[in-house]
Amino acid sequence: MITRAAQAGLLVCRACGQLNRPCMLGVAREGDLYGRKPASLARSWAFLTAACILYIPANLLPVMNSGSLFGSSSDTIMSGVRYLWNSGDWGIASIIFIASIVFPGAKLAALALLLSTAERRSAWWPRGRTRIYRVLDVIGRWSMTDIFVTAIVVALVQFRAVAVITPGPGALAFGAVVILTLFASMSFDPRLIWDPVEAPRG
Amino acid sequence: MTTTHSLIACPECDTLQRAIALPKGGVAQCALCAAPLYRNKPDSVEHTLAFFIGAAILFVIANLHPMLSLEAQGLRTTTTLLGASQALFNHGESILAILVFMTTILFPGVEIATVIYILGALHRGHVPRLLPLAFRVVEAVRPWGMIQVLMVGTLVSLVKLSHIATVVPGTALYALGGVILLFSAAEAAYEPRMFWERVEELRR
Repeated sequence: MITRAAQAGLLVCRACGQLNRPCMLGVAREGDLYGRKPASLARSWAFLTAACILYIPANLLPVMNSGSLFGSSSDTIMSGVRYLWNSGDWGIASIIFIASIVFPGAKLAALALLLSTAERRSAWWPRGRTRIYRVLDVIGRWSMTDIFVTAIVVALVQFRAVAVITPGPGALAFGAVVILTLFASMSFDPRLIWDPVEAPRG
Repeated sequence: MTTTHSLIACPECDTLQRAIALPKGGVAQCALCAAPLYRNKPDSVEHTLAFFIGAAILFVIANLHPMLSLEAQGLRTTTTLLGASQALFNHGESILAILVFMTTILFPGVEIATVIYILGALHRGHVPRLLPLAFRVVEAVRPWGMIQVLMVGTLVSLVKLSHIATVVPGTALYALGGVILLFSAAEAAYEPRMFWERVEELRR
């Protein structure tokens, strides 16, 4: 018969994985033994909501401003992708498109799904939802790509008389969205997915 | 390897199951959700330490040398790893500057130093005095080290800028690539269960 630790009344040491006692070396302190991450849903929802709000300026405001003798332009994430595509850099355009537009959007949607199903104690497709959670953890950091691109491009193109590139307000909003979704998925306890699932018989 | 028949809970679905002894190189999976649980890898501590020491050397190099140079219209600029955060800071984006600094320099550096402290002590045969604190530090810092993402970002900038100028990769870029490879190797070599077994052995 399959039992789960919480059903058996056992707690897990967050540091070394032992059951029901603080880590032998006190790596985990008293308060670290817990059945589930405390206030997991509340914290995740808070971070997710903030990320959704900032998602709008992140995509509408420009992330990079280029100025040269021939004029100036401001680029949002999407217009940057379009420029790369039209310049023939299909590979790079795709990378930025996936990292900066697909991933953040997918993260927001996936987090909303995980949080709402966990809230309603749904038993729908737990294995799939766990897989989604694991994927979220991996792809979250890759949305930082564009922030690093901006930093490096700004650091290099500093020919004051000829051409200058500066960061735009959208960059900060975008960075905030990435960080907030990271916090949101870190606050979510994946075991909440399995809590409502009935243990199979036998 | 000591055989332990203790109970463990799957970190992802919380199912209770017995930890069984594995043959060398074996992997144990959760009976319910197939999440990987643990492996039998006797040299795990030493291998991980070796990779991290290599990473430390390359990381220092990556910080001291220039990363990229740009040449256009007879003018030349160059930047180091720190220069990226500095540039953001100089343009008023202090928060982004701090974020970039933390994710590319501070946290990777702290992780490397702390892991070497812990594993170095274990390798020398004693449990490090500050193990509880050091362990927490590594756990806290690890998700925030983003040098792999930085690498991709740098390559993207390289291509973006190659249209308007000549971009030359510097020593630091190659060193950073090395750090990333060594990090991956270290991650593959690390096995938590082996680590805790070594700690328990040394305590006796």
